[in-house]
Amino acid sequence: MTAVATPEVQAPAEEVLAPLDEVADLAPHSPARGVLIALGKGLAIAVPVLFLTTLITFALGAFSDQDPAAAVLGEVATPADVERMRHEFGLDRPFYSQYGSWVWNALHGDLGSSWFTNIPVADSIVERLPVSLSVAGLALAIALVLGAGGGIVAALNRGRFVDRAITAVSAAITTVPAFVAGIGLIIVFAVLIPVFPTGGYVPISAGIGLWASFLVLPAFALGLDASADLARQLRTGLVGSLDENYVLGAQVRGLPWRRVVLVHALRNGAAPAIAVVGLHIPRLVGGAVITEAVFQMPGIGQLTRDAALRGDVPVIQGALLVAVLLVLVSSLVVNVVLARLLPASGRAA
Amino acid sequence: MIRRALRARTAQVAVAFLGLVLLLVITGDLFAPQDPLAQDTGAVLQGSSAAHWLGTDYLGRDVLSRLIAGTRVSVFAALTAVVIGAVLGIVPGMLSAFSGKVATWTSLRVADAFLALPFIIFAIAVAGLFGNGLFQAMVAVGILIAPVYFRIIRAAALSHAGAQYVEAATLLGAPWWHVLAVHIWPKVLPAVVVTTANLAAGGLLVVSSLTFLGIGIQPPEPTWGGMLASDLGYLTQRPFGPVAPALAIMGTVAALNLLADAIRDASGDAGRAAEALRNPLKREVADVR
Amino acid sequence: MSADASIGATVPATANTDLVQVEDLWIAAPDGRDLVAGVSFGLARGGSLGIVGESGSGKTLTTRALLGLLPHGISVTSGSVGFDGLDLRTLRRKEWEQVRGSRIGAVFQDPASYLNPSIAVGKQLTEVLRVRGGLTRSAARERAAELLESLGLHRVDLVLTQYPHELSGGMLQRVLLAIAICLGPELLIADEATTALDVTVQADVLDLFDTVRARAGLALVLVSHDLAVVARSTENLLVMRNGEVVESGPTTQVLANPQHPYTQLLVEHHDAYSLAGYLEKETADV
Ligand SMILES: Nc1ncnc2c1ncn2[C@@H]1O[C@H](COP(=O)(O)OP(=O)(O)OP(=O)(O)O)[C@@H](O)[C@H]1O
Ligand SMILES: [Mg+2]
Repeated sequence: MTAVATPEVQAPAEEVLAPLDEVADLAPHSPARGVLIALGKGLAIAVPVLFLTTLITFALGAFSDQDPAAAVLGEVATPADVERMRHEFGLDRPFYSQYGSWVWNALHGDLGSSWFTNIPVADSIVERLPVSLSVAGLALAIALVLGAGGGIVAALNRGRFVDRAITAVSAAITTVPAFVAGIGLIIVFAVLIPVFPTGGYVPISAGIGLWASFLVLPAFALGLDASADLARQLRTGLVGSLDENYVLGAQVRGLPWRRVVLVHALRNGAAPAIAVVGLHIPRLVGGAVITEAVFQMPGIGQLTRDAALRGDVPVIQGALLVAVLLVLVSSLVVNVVLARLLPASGRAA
Repeated sequence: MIRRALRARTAQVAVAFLGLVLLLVITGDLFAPQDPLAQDTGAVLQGSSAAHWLGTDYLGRDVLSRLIAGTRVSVFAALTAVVIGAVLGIVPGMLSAFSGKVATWTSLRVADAFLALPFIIFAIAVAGLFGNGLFQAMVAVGILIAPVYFRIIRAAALSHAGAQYVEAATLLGAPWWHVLAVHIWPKVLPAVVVTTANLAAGGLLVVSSLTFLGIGIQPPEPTWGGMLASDLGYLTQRPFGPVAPALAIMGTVAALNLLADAIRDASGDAGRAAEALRNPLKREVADVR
Repeated sequence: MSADASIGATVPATANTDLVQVEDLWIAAPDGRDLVAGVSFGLARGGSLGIVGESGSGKTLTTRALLGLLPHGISVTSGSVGFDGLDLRTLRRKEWEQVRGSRIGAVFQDPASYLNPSIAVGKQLTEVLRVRGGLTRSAARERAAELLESLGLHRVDLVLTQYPHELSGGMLQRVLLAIAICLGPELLIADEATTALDVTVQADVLDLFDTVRARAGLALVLVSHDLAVVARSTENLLVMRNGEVVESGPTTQVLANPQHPYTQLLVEHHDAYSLAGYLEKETADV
């Protein structure tokens, strides 16, 4: 039942680890230089992608059948009213000019205003970002801790009961979609055994304990799949590198076993797992939308959903932009970490 | 290949389950024991009984009937995305195995760009921009998953592009489309089948997520995701309410994935190319959400 | 520090003065197949022992037993492995960590693969000096540079910052040798350590072994395919075949006057295929 899981990222191939092969041919003398090159290459890819996606985003909005005049004024609007409104929002200008000023304004932190509430989109996003970042960040932390722990323990006990148990549990977890996991967690830990709230959110200023109690279930629901995947990937990578001669070499030097595993084996064995973390980040961002709905949290996801249900174009565009930015920045970070970790990543894949 | 795949017990169970789902898609609410829309305010939020095998929801509607009636929408929407992805991804994928450096680099980067987008948010945005339509959203998802087909098919085709019979055919002056259709296509077919099954599972999760959020459906119409959402509001009265729709979703998804695994195992190398890249969409949505 | 008369001979020496005493060592595969069957030998402090034999005869496994690092699933089934009065078979992981590196060092064929590809070689050397030798960071750096210089490497400051894939085979073998001897062990195991190197580099590395041994009173176990190499560098010799020792004794004696048919075959082949043998045949043909 490997159902919804990543493959054990196998051997090589540009096909498999696209982000990795960017880093692969560096072979720099100094790690710092490798990091700079990775950063440069990453930006060289991220910037065009960002341009492309904003263009798509904006084009979708511009060519959609949503119209603020119709949406806001309703059916009683006179043609003159509609015309005035369209002019107010700049919708009577040609496409490229609209896009140009949207990008220009976005660069200055202005994403326009909601058609319905007139609240600046940037303000709504800034207000809700902490919620989404809290959930996604905690989910990532849970994924890293559980995944790394599980993967290392499984690899060190290769073939034994613990290994098989961890492998089986993580395979099972990857078949459960996060919203189902969320509902299951609510049923068990909020309804049957009411230790956590069923949903909602309080800011961290209300007290760290209270804040955390609202985050635990959603973060677990969101992070479980990533942790299972990470554990599987890390186990595979680590088992592979534990068989390598350099691990034997480190043992021959009498280095303590913990050091051999955590410094020598992990450094190379973790590469595919880190790449997997990179793959999961868009999913954490996207998944937050539904987790926020399950747990009724006022985050970016709920903002997007409400805007979509109303046809509030500027808000949708702004939210999409932020989501894409989050994804691009995090994959950049992952690539830099990989470059730092594997200066000689000729062997990485 | 299919016959060999079906030798596995799990594959037989999966196919039987999918057959049942397909039957429900075709027959719609024909077999539903009751009218899926009929409300009964005297019997809301009931547990299972002889009259209502799976109980009733907050308006007293029969859960089993709604589950059956909701099958068609979910499956159709998922298939929409998969068909569009296949149409846009397969042929370019095969072609790119033979293309030059620049074209390859560009197409891979474009594919990466698409794969970096958070699918769900994008689908929600498209649905919102084009009149809250499930169909529009799934078209968007279809476009976004095309790169998955593209990369997998490209990988599968690449592993055969260098084969001697292909070179021989090219040397003998066979036109490229002939080489593709006659020599390459049969080799990548297993990868196509496996990818399709995997992506259908992923597509189903996206549909469920969207309908769970209330995107793309008009309220009384039953969908699996929508049922989950409405049950979520009544957990204290009916804590196990979400179990039935959740099992319907997970069961279908698991069946598709098991089938994909069985076919991959039965088809050797070509299928494995699909495995190697499996499968961004499925995964994004999996945690989704 | 020279040849010890007690080593060699077909009957293994068990004199208590020996640094290494291996007696009736049996090693089996997971499926129960015997891979090493009843090997015995002794090695005095500062002495040297060559092990030759065809591929798959159990040379590597025998030396791995001395390091307590047999491959996954393979285990010692009976016999004893003594090192300076210690019964190595009873050691636990923590105790092994005290023996490896500081008392027994080892170098292998394909040195690049025994170094971590992602860590600069200097760091891998100073790591041992710091973690096992208790040196401070700067003292370890200094010592590392000194060591590499004494092993004939040039521009050591650069070398220390380089990664394994940036160094040649000969340089890597020197780095590995530096790591192996940096804690001042009493025994050095060299398993095919010079096999992959070209002839001049091979001679350099063998010379280094001599220098290091003379300097530190190191005992040497040298595994090789090449009879010329063992003849040059060892005082005693073990000839293995199918996991068994077929002949042993002082190296010169065994090679000059082989008793066992297999050893005779080895020597013959070596003569026939060495350059000297080849030239001889050529001139004879003329
Ligand atoms: N990991 C392993 N699993 C199973 N059998 C092994 C393993 N390692 C070695 N063997 C077997 O043990 C026997 C002895 O191997 P060993 O490596 O000691 O030979 P060797 O004399 O060093 O050969 P070579 O000269 O080729 O290095 C061989 O038959 C080999 O097949
Ligand atoms: Mg060997």
